[in-house]
Amino acid sequence: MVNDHILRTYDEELTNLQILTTKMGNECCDMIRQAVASVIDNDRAIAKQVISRDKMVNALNAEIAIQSQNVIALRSPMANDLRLILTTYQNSLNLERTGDLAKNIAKIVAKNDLLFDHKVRGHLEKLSEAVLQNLTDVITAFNEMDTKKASAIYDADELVDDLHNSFSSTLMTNLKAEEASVETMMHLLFVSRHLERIGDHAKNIAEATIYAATGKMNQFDELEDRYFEELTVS
Amino acid sequence: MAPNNTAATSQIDPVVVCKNVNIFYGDKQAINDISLDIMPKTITAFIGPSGCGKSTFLRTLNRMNDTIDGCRVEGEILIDDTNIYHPDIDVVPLRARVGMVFQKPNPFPKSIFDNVAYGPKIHGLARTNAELADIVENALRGSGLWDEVKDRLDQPGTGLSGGQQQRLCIARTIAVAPEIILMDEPCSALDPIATAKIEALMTDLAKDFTIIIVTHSMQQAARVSKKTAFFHLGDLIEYDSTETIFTNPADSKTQDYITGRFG
Repeated sequence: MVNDHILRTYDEELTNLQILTTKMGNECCDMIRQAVASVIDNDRAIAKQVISRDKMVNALNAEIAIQSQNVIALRSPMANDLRLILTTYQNSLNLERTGDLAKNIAKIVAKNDLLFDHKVRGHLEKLSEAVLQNLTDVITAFNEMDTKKASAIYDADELVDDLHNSFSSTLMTNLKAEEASVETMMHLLFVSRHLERIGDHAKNIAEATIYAATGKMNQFDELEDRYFEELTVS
Repeated sequence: MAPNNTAATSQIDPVVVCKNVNIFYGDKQAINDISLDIMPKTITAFIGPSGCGKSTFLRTLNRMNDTIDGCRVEGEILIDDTNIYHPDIDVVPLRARVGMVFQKPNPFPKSIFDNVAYGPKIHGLARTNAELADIVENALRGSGLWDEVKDRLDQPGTGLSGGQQQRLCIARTIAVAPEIILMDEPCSALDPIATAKIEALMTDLAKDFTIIIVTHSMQQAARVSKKTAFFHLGDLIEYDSTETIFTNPADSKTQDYITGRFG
């Protein structure tokens, strides 16, 4: 999509923005993977690595902001190019937030000892895998301007929400039954909530991808309305 | 997408209605069946690569193409419901009604005053010298030139800077109280500051006049116009609000052109 301008340097600048987004996306996915591993293994050393990696994500976010600003100022982009640059910047803000949320999970591990059974671990693994799949898919969808793949994230995020709800219910049941450490269950509720929020950011990136490719904004709003209508009916 | 050579806008009545316009230079067809409406007191930009027909189409709107041997226009161009290609139409009053500003400033080799006074004189718009002086002053004020030239109205118009000369030509055009002003790349010979002054002037003039501008600068079209028409190989590819054309055009040819993918 970007590699056919008369000015080859312009192509290079747009390609560079896509490369930076992929790099930032991969970095965030790694952070999230590590953060979840630190929870599962109760590993403070890994948690500290995650915390320090957030600076790298912030630096990439700043780099994308500067490069986007330069292309806007120097190339006067139009139409799909303009939309690509605007969404690249918007996506970098969403990715930066996912880095923050991974860091928040790591901070919980760094400050606390988390003890839980295999059932809880199973919930956490399922939720984190679904979230990571969505984030990976949406980064690919953005890179390939694949609106079909981007649209599929809406339903995939419903699954993330269901997994978060079911994980939270299990934690609440454990709390009520006094079968587990109250502190751990409370902390894990936050971990679950952070993962669910990462899923929302993946959904935002998917919506922005649809805008970049088609110019249509807020394409998930209608689906959301339908979802709530169904909820009310049932 | 096939060329959409028909573009119309409802709500307010258009001032210019072009219906199935075909233009030929001898055997060669330069414009292919274009229908397009121009809205009053609006700036409309015609963009497209060289040779796409945008200037040819513009020049048809005040019959400037009549002066070109072998140029033939088919179809209807209605200005205020009158077909300007009807045999009874006199082109002299038509060109007063539909004025034109050219790429290169072309003041007459006369004084600044006479440059502006010439049109009103030949069209009999002033009964007295005082009236003529008023018309000249108003036109020069309207073109933003009055303060710069009021003390040297008797000096040659050709002695002004390029940007001032172009504003003098605009003053000359508005002095005969046209309804429509055609501008054929009016800033292409000017520096960025003179260009900015002409663009600001265009925005002011659009309160009273309908302006149609042909420009090679897409940024200029984006800055000044409310509606933009994209021409390619004699076809009208797309005609829409300027915001839509430059952010989310419907046709891939428009998108490729404005994003610098073909020229």
